[in-house]
Amino acid sequence: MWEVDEMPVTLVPKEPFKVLVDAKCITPDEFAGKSLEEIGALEVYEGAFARKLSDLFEIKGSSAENLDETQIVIEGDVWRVCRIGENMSGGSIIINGSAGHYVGRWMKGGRIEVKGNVRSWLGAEMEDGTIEVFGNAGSFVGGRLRGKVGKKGMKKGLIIIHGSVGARVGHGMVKGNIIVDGNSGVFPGSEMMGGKILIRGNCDGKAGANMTGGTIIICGKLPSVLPGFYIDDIASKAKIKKEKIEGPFYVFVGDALASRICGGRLYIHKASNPHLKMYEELLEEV
Amino acid sequence: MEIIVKGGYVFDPINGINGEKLDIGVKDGKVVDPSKIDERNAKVIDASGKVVMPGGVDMHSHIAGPKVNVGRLLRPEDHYVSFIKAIAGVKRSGSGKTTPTVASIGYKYARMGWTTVIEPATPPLKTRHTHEELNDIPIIDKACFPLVDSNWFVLDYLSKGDVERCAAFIAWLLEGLKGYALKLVDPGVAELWSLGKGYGLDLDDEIPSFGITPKDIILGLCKVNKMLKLPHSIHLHCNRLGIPGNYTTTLETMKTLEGMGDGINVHITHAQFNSYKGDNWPALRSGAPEIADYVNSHQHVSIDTGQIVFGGATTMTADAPFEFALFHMTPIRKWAGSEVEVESASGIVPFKYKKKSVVNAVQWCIALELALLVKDPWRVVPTTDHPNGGPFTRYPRLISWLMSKKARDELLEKINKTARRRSILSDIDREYSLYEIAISTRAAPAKLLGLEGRKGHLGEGADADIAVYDLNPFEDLDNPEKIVKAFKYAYCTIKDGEIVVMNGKVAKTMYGRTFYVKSKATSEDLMKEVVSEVEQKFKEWYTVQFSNYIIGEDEIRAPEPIVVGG
Repeated sequence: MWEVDEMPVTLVPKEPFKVLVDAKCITPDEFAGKSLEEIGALEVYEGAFARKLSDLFEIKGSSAENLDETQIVIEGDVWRVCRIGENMSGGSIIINGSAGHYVGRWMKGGRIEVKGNVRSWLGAEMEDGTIEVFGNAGSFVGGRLRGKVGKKGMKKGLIIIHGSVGARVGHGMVKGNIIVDGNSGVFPGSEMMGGKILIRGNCDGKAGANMTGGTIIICGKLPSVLPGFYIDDIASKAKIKKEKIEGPFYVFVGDALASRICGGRLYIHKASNPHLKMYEELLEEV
Repeated sequence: MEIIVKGGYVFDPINGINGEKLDIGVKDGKVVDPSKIDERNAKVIDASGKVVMPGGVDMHSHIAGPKVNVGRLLRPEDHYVSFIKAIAGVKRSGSGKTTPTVASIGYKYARMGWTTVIEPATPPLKTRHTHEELNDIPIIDKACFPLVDSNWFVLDYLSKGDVERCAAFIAWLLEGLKGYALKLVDPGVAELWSLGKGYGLDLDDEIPSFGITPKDIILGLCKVNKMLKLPHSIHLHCNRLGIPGNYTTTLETMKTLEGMGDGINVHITHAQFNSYKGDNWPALRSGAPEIADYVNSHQHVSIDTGQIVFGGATTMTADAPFEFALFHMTPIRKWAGSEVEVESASGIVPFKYKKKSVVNAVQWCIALELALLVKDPWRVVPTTDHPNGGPFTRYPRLISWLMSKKARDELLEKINKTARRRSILSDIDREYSLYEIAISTRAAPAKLLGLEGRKGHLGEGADADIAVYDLNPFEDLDNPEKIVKAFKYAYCTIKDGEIVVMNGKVAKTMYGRTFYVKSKATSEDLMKEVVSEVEQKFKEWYTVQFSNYIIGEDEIRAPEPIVVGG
């Protein structure tokens, strides 16, 4: 957590939202150097209808001239407001409540902090920056958008989630770090090409499907390892962002079905997964 | 509403008007003599210093149907990059660049001044879907061509040599499905695709299950087409499309149909993909001069070019084996294919045309060579085969290449060197005039489709489909960027007597007609016999009831039958 400067721009929802709101204008890039009136005149879509930002939010405080000094604070639940912080390249956003889909999509810098939960596609295809969520997150955290093929997932930056995440965290990610303190749904790190994912809790399974690079560390229980993975080693420690996590860990390489090079690494905690003991025999053979 | 378009330079080739300053009057959705219109009550559009043309006619653009929809599903990434906002009471929203959503197709065409568009391939069984989509496309008039080349009924009749029964079946099919003309895609190939084969099927290769060759199918259906007196000739996507060295097959196909009677008896569609010389892809050369020579010396063929435009595209065709082969050639690893019971098949592969690729650059040259070497503009139509060669929204760019050697040379400098060396494009000095553009994008397609009575001209009694472009024919033509800008955003588009686009912005949502053909050329007794035969076979072969196969007039928003042959 970081301290709020004395004069951020504060947005307070006037009344609870009934439909999804497309608010891609809520970014420091749009707010920087604008007066409150100008900010209030920015266009948002409530369902199919164009509205002004000031129609939906009460706007207080003042915005900074400089992008990096711009701070936006949203008080209250905005879990139906989508695309907050999309494409932002600096400054910071603090949401004291829950947020909607696509928070921090394509973001290029700056910080986002969410005190509640977020919905899917948090930090999708982000290029840099930091996102911290104190609640849970939906699916496709740091993921690649639908339909794109190639290096298109999260490229750099850090996402920290103190709660749990849904399916396909880090789908197709290229670089960067995702840290999940809670549990994860199915398919963490699917189609991943690089970067690191740490899951401190349990995982529902199918970790690293189709991965060609990168590292997934699972400290909790994993029901089974996909057949495309080979056991490689038993490591005493795993590392992410200079943090050392005590093991020992089974180290698997794969996914052999995605590439013959088997560039992906799967670290599975030994103590929480006694049912994977059979792999040790295979290790001794080699 | 009465409208008068005042003082524009009118280009109306069907009536032989070449850039004269004229007024055009519009009343009750038809073009009328401007003197009959009371100016005080009419809406006056000041077109002085601007170009006035009939509304554009696109005779080959995949805008609706099952495979277009699968293309949309296959390419969600295409819909992040381009979208239009809804304006309450004026227009609906939409998205997509190479696979635009239903509503945005109509708006994008109208914005460019195009008002009639044909969906050229729909599998008969799924034509109901095609019509549902066509119904929902705003502004433009439309029609669809059912696929008939691999239909078991057709193959069955043709293998028995029974052209008359085949004609009766086709007449029933067109009327029942509300289709407009016959589309042949790589004749016979979909039948082989159901066996997992079919890539590179040549004209004289036998289709084992029926014992006939693609040549027989083409000849047979051409006879049927003549017999039924259909307004458009057979719309033929030739065999061996997209295979180097295929220009010989195309020439052979055209020669086969030489003696089939007067007038145009075959339309070779997206001819660029069928004009390849060379033994393999790296050695690809242009076969355009040979094809153009043939078209110039024979009167029975018309072509459209199938221009590729550098950038993203989504290839989709009923030539499923070719798409499967293309899938293995492309770095974008996505493919969708399907097979429609006893009728047709299709495939979809996203594609990106690159300037620095030899193959793509040669393809670009071939299509332009075709458009420039064929001397008669009434028989060559520039298209992009949307979305195969590129989206239809690139037509303004295509027009600028045709109208300006400077624009061509500029791009020629940027493309692959080997391709530039192989191409004769730099030696071609021909530039289309505005009159020729009006022919090839309006009058010619309307005439080839048999719609010249009401589309593609501005004579009295024609449908009031008018496009006004902010382009001065005496000053702006040496600047290609001005041509692109003018055609990209029409100053004004009038559709059926209503102003739908003003200053490049959509001003109104209205819905056009769907044309279809009723042929009365077959005797009623024969028709009855054939229909009962078909009904029997439906029980054997089809998953749908015979009665559910036929599309009622009430299922179409504005049906417009064209009765022929009776």
